Amino acid sequence: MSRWKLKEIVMMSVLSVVFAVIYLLFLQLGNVLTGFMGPMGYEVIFGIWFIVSVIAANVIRKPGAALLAEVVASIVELLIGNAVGPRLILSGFIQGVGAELVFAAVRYKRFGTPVLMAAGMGSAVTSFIWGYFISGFAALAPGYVAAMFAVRLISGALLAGLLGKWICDALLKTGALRGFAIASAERNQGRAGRGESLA
Amino acid sequence: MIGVRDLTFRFAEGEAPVLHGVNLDIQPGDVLLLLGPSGSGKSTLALCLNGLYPEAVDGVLAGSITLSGRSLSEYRLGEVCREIGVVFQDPESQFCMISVEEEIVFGLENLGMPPEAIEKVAGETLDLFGLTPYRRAPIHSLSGGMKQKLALACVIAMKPRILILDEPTASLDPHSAREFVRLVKRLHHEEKLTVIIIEHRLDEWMDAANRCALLDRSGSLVFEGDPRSAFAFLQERPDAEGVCLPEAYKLGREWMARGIYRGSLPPITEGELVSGVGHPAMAEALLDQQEADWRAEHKRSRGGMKPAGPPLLAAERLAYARGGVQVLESVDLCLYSGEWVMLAGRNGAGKTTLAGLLANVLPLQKGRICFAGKELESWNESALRRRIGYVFQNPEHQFVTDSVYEEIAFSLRLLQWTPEQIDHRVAELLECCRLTGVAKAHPFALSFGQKRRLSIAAMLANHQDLLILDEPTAGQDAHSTEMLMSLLQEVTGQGGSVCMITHDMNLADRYADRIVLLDEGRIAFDGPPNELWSRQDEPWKAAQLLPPFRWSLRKQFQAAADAGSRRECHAAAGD
Amino acid sequence: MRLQEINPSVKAGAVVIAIILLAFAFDPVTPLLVLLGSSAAACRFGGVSVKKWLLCLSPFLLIAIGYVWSAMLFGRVPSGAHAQILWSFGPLQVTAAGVSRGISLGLRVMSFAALSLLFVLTTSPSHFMFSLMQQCRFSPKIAYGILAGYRFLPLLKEELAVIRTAHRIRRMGVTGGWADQVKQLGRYAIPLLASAIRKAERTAMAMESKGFTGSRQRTFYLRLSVTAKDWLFLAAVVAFVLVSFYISGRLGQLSWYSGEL
Repeated sequence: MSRWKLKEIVMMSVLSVVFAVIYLLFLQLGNVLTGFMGPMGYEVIFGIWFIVSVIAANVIRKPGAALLAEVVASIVELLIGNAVGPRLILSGFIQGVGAELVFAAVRYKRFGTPVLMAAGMGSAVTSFIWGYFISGFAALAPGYVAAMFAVRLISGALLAGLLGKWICDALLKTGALRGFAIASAERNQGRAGRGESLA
Repeated sequence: MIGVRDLTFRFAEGEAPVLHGVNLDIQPGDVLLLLGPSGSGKSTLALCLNGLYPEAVDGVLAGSITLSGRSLSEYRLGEVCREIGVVFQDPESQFCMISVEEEIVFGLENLGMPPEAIEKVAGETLDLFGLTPYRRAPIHSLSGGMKQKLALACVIAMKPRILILDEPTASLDPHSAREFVRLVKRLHHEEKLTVIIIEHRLDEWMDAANRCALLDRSGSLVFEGDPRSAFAFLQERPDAEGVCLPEAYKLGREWMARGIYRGSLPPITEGELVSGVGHPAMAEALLDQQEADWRAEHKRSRGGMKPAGPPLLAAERLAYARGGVQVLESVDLCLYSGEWVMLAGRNGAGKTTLAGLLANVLPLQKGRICFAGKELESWNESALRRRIGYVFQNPEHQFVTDSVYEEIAFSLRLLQWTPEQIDHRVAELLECCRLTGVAKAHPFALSFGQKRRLSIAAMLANHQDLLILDEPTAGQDAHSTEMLMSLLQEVTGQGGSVCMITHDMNLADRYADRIVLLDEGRIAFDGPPNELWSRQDEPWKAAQLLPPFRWSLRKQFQAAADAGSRRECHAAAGD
Repeated sequence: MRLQEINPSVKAGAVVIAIILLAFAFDPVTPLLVLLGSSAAACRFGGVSVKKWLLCLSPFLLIAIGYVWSAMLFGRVPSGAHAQILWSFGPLQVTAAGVSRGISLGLRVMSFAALSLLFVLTTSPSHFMFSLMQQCRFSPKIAYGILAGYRFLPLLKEELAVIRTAHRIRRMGVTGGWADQVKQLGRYAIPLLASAIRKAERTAMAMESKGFTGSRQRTFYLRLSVTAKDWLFLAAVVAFVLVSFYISGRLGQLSWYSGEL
C-alpha cells in the first residue's frame, strides 16, 4: 500500500463522490429509461460507472490504479447509501479488473484516447459477465442479450473512455491536476516537443 | 529550535524555485509572523518546516532544515507531528472524519496512544476548547469559526511544541477571527507554544508577535527581525504590495510625521498609538477631517450627483424560511441608482439569502420586490439578467468558459454584439481589471485576486444597473482589495448601484453610502455609516461586528479628552 | 437485538452471501419471501420507519417493472414447450411463461435491493470503515482516504446547487437546445471536479500533518469485535434464505437459475 500516496486515494474517493452527485442527476433518467425500456435503459448509461477508474488511471498512471479506483468508488457509493449494497464492492472489483487488464496490456505506458476507450470497454466486458449471472439476463432472449451487450460496450467506450478523456483534458487546463502524474507527463511531453522543434 | 539553512525549493526539476536560499532560526517561545505578497512561498515554507514537503508534491529541496538539532530528513514518517502542528486556511478541507470527537481521536490514534489515554486526552481537549457539547456533532454542521477551533483542538491534543497557522482566520467573520486569535494567544502563554503565523490581517496579532520574516515575490527572505523594523523596512519597498500593514502602524507613521504622535518609534498596536498621542482632541479632529475627505472624494467620483429619484429596487416585508428555520423576517429595503450599500451582519444573519432574493436567484416566499418599477416576478428572465448582476462568493462557481477573454465575451455574445464591439469592450474591461496579460489563460489557473476581478469584469460586461456582490473581498490581500474598490467606485460613478455583503467594517465605513445591518433575519439598522457607530443602543454590538478602526480610536480619544477636561475642572475646583 | 449493533463486516458478508445464494434460484416465491423477511427485519430490528423503508425501496419498483415488461416481451421462449399465449399484438406475444419469468426477475431485483437497504440503513459509515480495518485487515490508508472523500458529500451537493444558479445567471436566461444542455452538464462537472480535487489534496496534506502515515501499526479508540451474536445473525440470514428455498420447493415453484443458461 505504500506505493499509493494518500492524496491519490483521497482524490479517487472525492471523484467517486462527485460522480455520485452527478449520477443523481442521471439516476432519475436511468430509472425512467428502465421503466420504459427494461434493462436496456440502464445499458445506455452503464458506462458512466467506469469513468472513475478511467480518470483515476489516467491521472495517477500507476499499476493497479484503475482497479483500486473502482473499488474505492464502490465503497464510497455504498457509504453514500447506494441500494445495491455491499454487493457493489464485488461489482466494483470486477469492473475494475476489466479496465486494469487493458492498461496492463499496454504496460501502463500509453494513455491515449484509444486505450482509455478500450479500458471502458474492458470494464463493460467483465461487468456484463457478472451481470449475466447476478441479474438473470439468461431469462431474456439471446438476441436481446446480445443487443444489451453491444450497447454496454458502446456506452463503456463513450461514457467512460471518451468522456473520461475529455474530463481529464479539461481538468488539466484548470491546473487542478498539477500534483499528479498526468501533469508531469504532460510537462515532459511539452519539453520533448520543444526539444524536437529546436533540433 | 528550528534552523533553516540555504533552503531552496522547486515543485519540479527544472522549474523556477518557489523558495530561494532561505535562512531562518526560530527560538522556543517565538511568535513569528511570516509575511509576503501572495505567491511568495509562505505556505510552501511552512509545509517544508513540518516535513510534508517535498514528499507530498515530489518537489526538489536543497539546503537543510533542523528541528531540535536533528535534521528533518532523519525523522521517521509521521514523527514530526509530535513537535509541529498545523492549522490550515480552508475550514472545509482539513478533516477526514464525520464527527467532532472522531476527528480529535484520529490524531491521537496516529500517535499510537492507547485507548485509555485517548479517552482522557480527548475529553480534556474537548473541555479546553468548549467543544464538549458538540462531541458527537457532525463536523459538517459546525460554523466556519467552530471548524477552525476544532482544527486547532485536534492539533493541540497532540501536544506539539510548535504551532504553524496558515491563514487560519481568512474565511472567518471578524468576531470568530478575534476569538480564534485570543485562543492561540492564550495557548502561547499557558503552554509556552512557539507559533509561526501566516496572515493577511495582522492587527489582532501585534501584541503577541515578537518577530517577523519577510519573503519577496521571488521567494527570498529579505528581512528578519522585530515587527516594528519589519514594517519600517516594508514601507521603503515598492514591491511590498499585498502585505497589509497594521492600521495602527500606518496611522502612527503619518501622525509621527505631523508631530501628533510623540513616541520615538512608530506604534504597532492600537494601545501604543492611543497612549503616544499628546493631544487627543486634535487627533479626534484629524480623524474627522480624514473622514470628511473620504466622503468628498466619494462624491467627486460620481460627479457630485446624489443617489436620488425613485428607488431602483424596493423590497417590502420579505420573509424567507429554509428547513423550518425563519432566515428572514419582515425585511424592507430600497436601493437607489448610483448608490453603494453594504450589507453587514454575523454569519447566518441572512445576508446571502437577502442578496439572493434581491437578485431573483432564490424564489420569493413572502413579500414583494419591485425592480425599476415592475414586480421582480413579472420580469422576463433574460431581460432581468441584463440589468442585475450577481457575483458569487467563490468566483470559480460562475466561470463558464475556458479562457479569460471568452469569459468576459460570453454574455456579450449571448446579447449578439458584433465581434468588433465585443473586442472593444473586452479589451476595455481587461485593461481596467488589469487582466490584459492573462487574456488567454484558463480562468481557474489565475491567482485568487485575478479570479475575483475576472468574475466582476464578466458581470460588468454589459453595464448592469445593479450589481450584487457576496463578500467580494474575503481572502483578498490589501492590494487586490483596493483595486476592487476602485472598480466598484467606477460603477457607482457611472450611475450603477452596488449592493455588497461584507464583514470588513473599515471598508464599509470608507465606501458605503448606507450600511444595512442584518441581525437574526431582521434589519437592525439602515443608514449612513456614522449614524450606525454613533447610535446609543449600539446595534453593531449585538450583531457581533467590530467597529472600524477609525471609530474605535476616535472613541478612545474622546474618552481621553473628557478625562482630561474633567481633570482640569477638578484642578480649577481645587483652587 | 438491534441491527445497528451487528458488526458491519459480518453484516455486509451476510448480505452478500444471501444475495449470491438467491442468485441461484429463479422463481417468484423465494425472492418474495426474502423481500418480506428483510422488510420485516429492517422495520422491527433496524428501527427504520415503514414510510422511509418504502420510500427507499420505491425506485426499485420502477426498475422491477421495467424488467417484468421486457421479460414478458423479449423473454426467451422455452423450446418445444406449448407456450400458453395470453395476449398478442402483431409479432409480440405474451406467454404465461414470459409473465412468470418477468415477475421472477422483478422480484429478484426487489429482494436484492431490500437486503442491501437492510445494510445501508442500519450501518454508520465510519463504523463500517473501522470494522473493515479491524476485522478484514483493510488498509488504513484506503479506509481513511475513503472517509475523507465521503465527508465532502454534503459540501459538493451544495456546491453543485450554487454552480447551477451561478451559471443560470451568467447565461442570462438564454437556454440552448438539447446539445447545449448536455454541454452545460460538462460546465457544471469541471468546476465541481477541479475544486473537489484541490480539496482532496489539501485534506490529504492535513491528515499527514497530523501524523497519519497509513501504517497498520495504529491504535484504535473504538474497538469493534465479532461476538457470538454476530455469527448468530449470519446464521439466521442464511437460514432464512434456505427456508425460503424450502417453502418455495414445497409449493412446487422453486427452479434453479443454472437451468436457464
